[in-house]
Amino acid sequence: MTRKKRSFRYIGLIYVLPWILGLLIFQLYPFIASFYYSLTDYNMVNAPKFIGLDNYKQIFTNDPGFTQALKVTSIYVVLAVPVKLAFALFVAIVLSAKLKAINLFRTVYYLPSILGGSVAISVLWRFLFMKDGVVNSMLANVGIPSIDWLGNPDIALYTLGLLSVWQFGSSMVLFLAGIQQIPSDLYEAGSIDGASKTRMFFKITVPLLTPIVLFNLVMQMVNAFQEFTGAFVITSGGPMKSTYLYALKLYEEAFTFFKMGYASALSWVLFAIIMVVTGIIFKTSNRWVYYEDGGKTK
Amino acid sequence: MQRLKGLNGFIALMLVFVIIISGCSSGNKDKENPGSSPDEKVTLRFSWWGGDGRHEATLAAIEAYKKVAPNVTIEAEYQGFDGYEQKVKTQLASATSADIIQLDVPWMKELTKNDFFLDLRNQEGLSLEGFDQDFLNNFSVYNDKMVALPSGVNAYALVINKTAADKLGVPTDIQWDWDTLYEEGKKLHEKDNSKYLLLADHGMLMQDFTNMLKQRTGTQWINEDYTRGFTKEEAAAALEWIDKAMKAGVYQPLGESDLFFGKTEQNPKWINQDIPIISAMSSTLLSLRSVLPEGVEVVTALPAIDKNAKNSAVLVRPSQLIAVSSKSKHPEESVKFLNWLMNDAEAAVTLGDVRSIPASAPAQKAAVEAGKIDEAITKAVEMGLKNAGIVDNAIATNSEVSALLQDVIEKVAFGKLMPDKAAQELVSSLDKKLKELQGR
Amino acid sequence: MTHASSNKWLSYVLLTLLGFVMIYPLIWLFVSSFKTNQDIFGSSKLFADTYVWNSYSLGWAGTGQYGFQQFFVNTLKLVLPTVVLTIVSSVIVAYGFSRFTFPLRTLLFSLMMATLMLPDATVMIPRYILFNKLGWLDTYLPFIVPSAFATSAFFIYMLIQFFRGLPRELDESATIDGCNSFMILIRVLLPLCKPALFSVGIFQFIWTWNDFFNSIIYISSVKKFTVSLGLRLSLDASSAVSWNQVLAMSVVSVVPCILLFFLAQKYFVEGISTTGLKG
Repeated sequence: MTRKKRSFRYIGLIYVLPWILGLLIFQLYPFIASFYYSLTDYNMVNAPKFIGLDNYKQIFTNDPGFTQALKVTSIYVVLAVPVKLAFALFVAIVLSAKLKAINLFRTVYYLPSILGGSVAISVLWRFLFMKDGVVNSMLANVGIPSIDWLGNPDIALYTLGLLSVWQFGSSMVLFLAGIQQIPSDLYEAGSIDGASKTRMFFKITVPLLTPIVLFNLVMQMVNAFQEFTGAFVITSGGPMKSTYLYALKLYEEAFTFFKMGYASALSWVLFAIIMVVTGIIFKTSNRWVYYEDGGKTK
Repeated sequence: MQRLKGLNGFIALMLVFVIIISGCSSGNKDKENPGSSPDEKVTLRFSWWGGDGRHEATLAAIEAYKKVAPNVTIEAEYQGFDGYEQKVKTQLASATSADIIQLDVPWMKELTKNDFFLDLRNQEGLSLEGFDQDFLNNFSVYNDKMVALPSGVNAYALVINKTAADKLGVPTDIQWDWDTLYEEGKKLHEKDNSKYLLLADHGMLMQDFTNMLKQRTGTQWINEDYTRGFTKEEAAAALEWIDKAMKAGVYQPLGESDLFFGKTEQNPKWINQDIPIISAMSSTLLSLRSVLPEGVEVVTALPAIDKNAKNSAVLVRPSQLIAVSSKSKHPEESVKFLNWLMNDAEAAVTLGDVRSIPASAPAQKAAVEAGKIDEAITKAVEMGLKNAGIVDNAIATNSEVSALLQDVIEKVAFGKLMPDKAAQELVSSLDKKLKELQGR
Repeated sequence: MTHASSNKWLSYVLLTLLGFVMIYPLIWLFVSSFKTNQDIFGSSKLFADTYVWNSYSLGWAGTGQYGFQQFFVNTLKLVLPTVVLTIVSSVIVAYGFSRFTFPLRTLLFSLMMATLMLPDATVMIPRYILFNKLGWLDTYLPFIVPSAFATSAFFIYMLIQFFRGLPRELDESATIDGCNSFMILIRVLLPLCKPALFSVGIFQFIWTWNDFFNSIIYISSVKKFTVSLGLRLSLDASSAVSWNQVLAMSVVSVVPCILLFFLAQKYFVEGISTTGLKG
């Protein structure tokens, strides 16, 4: 047994090897290059000129756009991520029931996420939420005065958040997969012991789903910090920079202003922020995530 | 375990499939060998962005070129506008661009910091005679090199839905100035608050603002020497007009119109003919008209000009530019094709107005005679050329400068900042940015 | 009994109402693909007075040289290998991370997570330069080859979480039965993780299918365009765009994704039981 354990030490590395190779071949160079750019004045056109930490200094002391983008992005992350996850979990639980035509319902609920990348979605979202749009005309039917969903600087960010919640499909699918993976014998044992359904939900379903909750939380957070498409195609950061997300700022610096060095520095600042937040989530996860494998490996 | 066997078989099958598929998508990459003796086969890449009409006409022109130069094959790399800028800049940065490249005017200042493009002056087989020399000097020459040729001429104009204007009692035969715009706009909105005289997104508002400044000062709004061409008071006066016009409902509120930034033709107020006038580049007329019912008459007029204007400030610019890559392996053949595309009568007739009105005189003549050019566009461009104003220098159209102006204009348009405060903010942020740009 | 069935009815009513919100966009898309530009943008009503019936045939034929038949074939050539290779490579790597301890494991795991956190915009240029050096521009290789090396940390981490949700006793009892580690993966873990495997497949399929910003950078020849590039081929501010054709092709282009999802989810309902394997 002990000899076997020792040979195990390197077996793991062999399995991980493809990824290590991938990292070395495809990912390491772009990473290092982008970090180097962040220390330079680089307009994509001329060779990068080394300027030390000037870009970073500029970001933290002299860039109102950075502050605005960070503020908007933080609000977006804090609001959109929890709402989206809660909604996804709720729908997943309902959809895991053994109802007739459940396949159809699942597909329907996943539709918004499939449509997410379509050109049509920006057209559609404007058409739904513009001043004389569908949503407002429905509200008017029940006597609610019309709201300028995308044109009012105080509201537009929340409307974009709504778009992201509406595309809750991938989180939902993972919750569904997680629920399906819970061994049915646990429930059988539970019902033999006379546990109620609610009790089993909190004592079996929820704890066994926590690894997936952690995953969804981390990934949705990482994605929300880098959210780009919705704001880019629908509001392009407006009105009055109220939806000026960090990724939009980055894009503008890189491809409109041609300041690739500065954009790289902005990337690395965002990288650091996401790292810290992820680190915190991982640290606290020891307390609330339950692993069936006994938590033997990290 | 029955199910597992199925899974294994499935994976094995998929692997085989992958090998087959990736085999056919990778192997056949045929690169043309460089070689430039006259009869040898030459392949050139030509990249452009556009819509259906431009794609079809340009492909037809490429087809026709086969008869002119049988040894030359042109590979067309065309797409919509989305992603084109990003792609071309990436390609130029890594020397993978096409031989012949369609470009947009605002990108040029940055792109010409390096030798990406062939100097088109004194190239054998390229005739520049048909072009207006001032126009070339203004838009094609950077750092004393002629890096690209204008594919067409585009003028800033008022695009007017005459049918709707007549119905709403808006005059269409006057030369507009800022006072008449305000008066007519106010009157129209007071009569029916679902109607507005003008549709403008933040880009057009910025244009109106700088036009107003240039007309009143008679100079550039930002000078070649990185200083402002206007005073704080002049800015305040212009912003005051915008503030006043916004509040009176002359323009559709910016929050509503900006949703359709860069796609004005999708604005329902225009489509439903609740707004009769848009100030826009003449080339967008085709798309603006395509969303209106048949029988609606669309005409053009000169943009608003101040009554005491020292300069008209009417903007005339190339619709796009076309350059030849300095990395091209076949510069002579590329230049020859460019010459044909720009000057040849057959090319002009094939292309028509898909890149606005041809910039070269013989091409323009041929296209007009063949009836391939829209009348309203022709009128807009002719008027624009006749009344052309000061040409913006590269600093005035710098994207970072525009971003600052956009900020201030938006704050005024949303009523979040009083005109005098906004002028103060514009002046101080501009001065700072100009100093930074000068130092770079 | 009555309590349970009224619960069921409530579920149906709720699901249907919410489902309508979810499906409305697709309905709008479909109906609008028969409208004129004027009706698409001018009115917030779902139905129009006049309809155009040729948007699908015209849209399918496409502009200029190539039509959507070509774009679909191209997309499949790109997407299928990418999906399969992603599944295979991610499973192997995730297995290594979740079931074994080895030197530098924590560091490597952190590195892997880090690759998710740097925004794309700035690694795009160096990555483009890399693929250019490899001579892979204007081919599908920049998508396919990296997927064979598990370069998507998202999927690795996802599978790690699912593997960790499976009890270790399963592996141990299989080891006693004489299985080596690879056989444990294939015979014991994978069958239990089918929903997760299918999720990887579905996600990678849909995301690669819809990808625009990466594809447009690497693919130049219209001959090699994918569907999502084809959809934007004629969108330009200064040309009249036939939006009904664009929307029609949008509808056609989501059909494969919907079908895939609909078919794949039967693997989500199969109840799994670990008892048989444990014993």
